[in-house]
Amino acid sequence: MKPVWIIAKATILENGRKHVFHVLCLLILAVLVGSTLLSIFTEGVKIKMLKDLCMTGILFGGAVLAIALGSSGIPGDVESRTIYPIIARPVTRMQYVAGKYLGTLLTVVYGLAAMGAIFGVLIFAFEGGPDWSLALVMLFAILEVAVVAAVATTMSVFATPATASVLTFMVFVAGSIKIGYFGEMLSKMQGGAAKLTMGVFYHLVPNLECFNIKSVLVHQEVVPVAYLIQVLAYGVICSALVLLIGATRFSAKEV
Amino acid sequence: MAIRTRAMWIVSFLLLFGAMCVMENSALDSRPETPQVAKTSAVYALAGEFRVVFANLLWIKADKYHHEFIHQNPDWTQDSDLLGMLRMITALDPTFTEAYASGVYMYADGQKDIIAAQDYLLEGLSNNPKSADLNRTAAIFYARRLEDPRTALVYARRAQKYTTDEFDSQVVGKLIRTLEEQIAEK
Repeated sequence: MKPVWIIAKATILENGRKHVFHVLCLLILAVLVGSTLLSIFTEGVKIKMLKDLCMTGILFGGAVLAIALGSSGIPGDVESRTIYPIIARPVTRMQYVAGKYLGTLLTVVYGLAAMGAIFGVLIFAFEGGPDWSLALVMLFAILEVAVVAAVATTMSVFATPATASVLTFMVFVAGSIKIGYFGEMLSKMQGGAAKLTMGVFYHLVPNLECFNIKSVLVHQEVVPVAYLIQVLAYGVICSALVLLIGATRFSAKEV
Repeated sequence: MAIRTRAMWIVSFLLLFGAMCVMENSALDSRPETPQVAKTSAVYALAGEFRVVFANLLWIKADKYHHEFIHQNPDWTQDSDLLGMLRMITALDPTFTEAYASGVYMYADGQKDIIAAQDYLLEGLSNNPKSADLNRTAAIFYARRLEDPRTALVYARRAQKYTTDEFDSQVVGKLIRTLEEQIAEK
């Protein structure tokens, strides 16, 4: 576990120096603050609008950060040849991939924590008190980002950073509309090869829609604890599976 | 040995994939009900998370047009041009109760189309059964437009149950007493 943590710490430092991290974080923070300006124009729905816009910004921003950092980590090391002294040490390829993934995830979590803190302050200012459901919603946003980062890291093993980013973004979009669009399409299909193919595709795409529990924050909806636990387990298993595929491929790859 | 290791990996992948599918399906079974519009509207599904942002931006425009209209005509329910926009807002975000409430008054008072108003109201209520605002709107609609205080009382009691504001609770309490008196008189 120690080599994984050492590589993760180095990745956090490396990601922290990347312009893309700072630019994206500042952009999302600007969106959060800007949404207060939008919401002041409408009486009655100020809080709803603020929470809707901020949560969409955070979910989208977190995913874009994970894609940008996750898809450039391993290819960046290969290109700059910093990977050679690492793999020459008693570090397995799997530990290296796990370390890069953990470092990417923790960097994105730092960014999300900053966004969550600003959002919390805005809610406090508008509502006159804290909204503790924000912590739960942010936890599941981090889980979504963990899956996206795993996909980006795995894609970066198979393809160039640009291709990996585009492919991961496509997976992110497909995963975000999985229940609403693909699920409905699958349920309306008649049996046969087409339905089987669609079913396989449906289960291969990670379900990112289930991590979005924004309604808890915006509409004070109650989400069953059983659902949250299942989604938590799903997120962990999904990230592990995707990462294992990437690590296995990287173990057999010539660098 | 290599074949055995490879087979172990493949079995591990399949097991993890199976566990992931089982966990996803069981999570979907215990997932809270989504609004009916979410299951039928392609616009809703394809716009993804951004549909809510679009709905909010449309509401800002609707609010602007509404104020421009009342500058000319104080009876805002006559602004029938706004109805399409409100419909689009609720198609994008079926939890936008304010748009439903405004639309119901526009259909009922502006268009004098009680059936359309009732349909829109019931659509809003099926998507937001726990909305205190919509339940109160339904109570007033049934009492005033349909002269049905018994049904109105059901909605008024629901509104009181779901409201979190003390002032609103007292207002609805007064409405409930009025409806009870109307039922007693009948």
